[in-house]
Amino acid sequence: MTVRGLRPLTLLTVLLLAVGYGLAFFWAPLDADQGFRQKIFYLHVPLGIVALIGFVVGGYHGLRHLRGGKPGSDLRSYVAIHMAQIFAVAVLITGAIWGRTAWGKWWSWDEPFLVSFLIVFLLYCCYQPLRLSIDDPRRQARAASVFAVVAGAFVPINFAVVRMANQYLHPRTLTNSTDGSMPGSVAITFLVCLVAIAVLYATLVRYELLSKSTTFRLRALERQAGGDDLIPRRSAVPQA
Amino acid sequence: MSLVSSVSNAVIAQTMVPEDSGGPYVAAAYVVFLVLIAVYVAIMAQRLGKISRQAAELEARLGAANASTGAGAVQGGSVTGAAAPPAQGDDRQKVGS
Repeated sequence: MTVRGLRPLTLLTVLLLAVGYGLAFFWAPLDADQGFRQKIFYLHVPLGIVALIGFVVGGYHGLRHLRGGKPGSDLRSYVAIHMAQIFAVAVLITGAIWGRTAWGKWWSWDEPFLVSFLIVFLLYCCYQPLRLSIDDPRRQARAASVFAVVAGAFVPINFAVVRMANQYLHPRTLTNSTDGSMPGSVAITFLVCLVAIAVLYATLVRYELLSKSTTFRLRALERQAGGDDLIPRRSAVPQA
Repeated sequence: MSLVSSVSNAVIAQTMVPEDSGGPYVAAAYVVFLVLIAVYVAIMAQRLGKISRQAAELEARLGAANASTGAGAVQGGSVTGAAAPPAQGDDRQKVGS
């Protein structure tokens, strides 16, 4: 994959983001309860969903690495988790801003969704230090893959448990149609924004993979030019 | 009431919108997201450009060395002909050193 090969995906991402947030600001109705501040919903919730899916994707590639032992799967797992962490940071910041304007406080420990997301985020904060703590690239990849699989399985379980525990307390937004939960225009706008953020995630993952593969090519050339008795220093990044 | 579930109360009612609609906060949330993505893309673009340039230069040097000395001569030695140790500040180290 080259930068030129990624150009159509990049253009699609920009287009989807423009359409999605154009709909959010100029077409979707204002919320009767929250007013204009509800527009954060179109950014915060898709980011959260995509970040959690990114963690699961990291686990899937980790599992593929454990089954097949291919270094490429470990790299994909690393990049998927790395990108999901960046999205998770954005989720926490936008969520805090939304909380401040809607509730008057930056954080609420009474909200299970918030706390469970923070737990998932903190769990994945251990991923890079884990990688960095192991010298041998093969052992590092294996341990990181085990972590990615276990933590990746924890994400949907954690989400489902919190949802089930609160089903009588919190009305569902997307699944409950009996109480007229989400008007059609809001739902359509939300789905477009969700797709846009998911494509943004995929694009950034592709660019990161391209960057890593170019780095590996450079190292191979350096080995060819300077002898093959050089080994890379300890790094959290998977080795080719 | 959770933030997301409050959307369930959404009604197309421009006249019922609260007075303090939190415009600066909405702007802050979107700006934070844009800045985060822009910084990340800028760092990645700079890194990718630098690495691509270095790889292209090295490839050209290897190609020139192969052409002048034969394909096998470069193997195991540096482009300049000697097996030079890594320069200071290089992010690699010798095996066993």
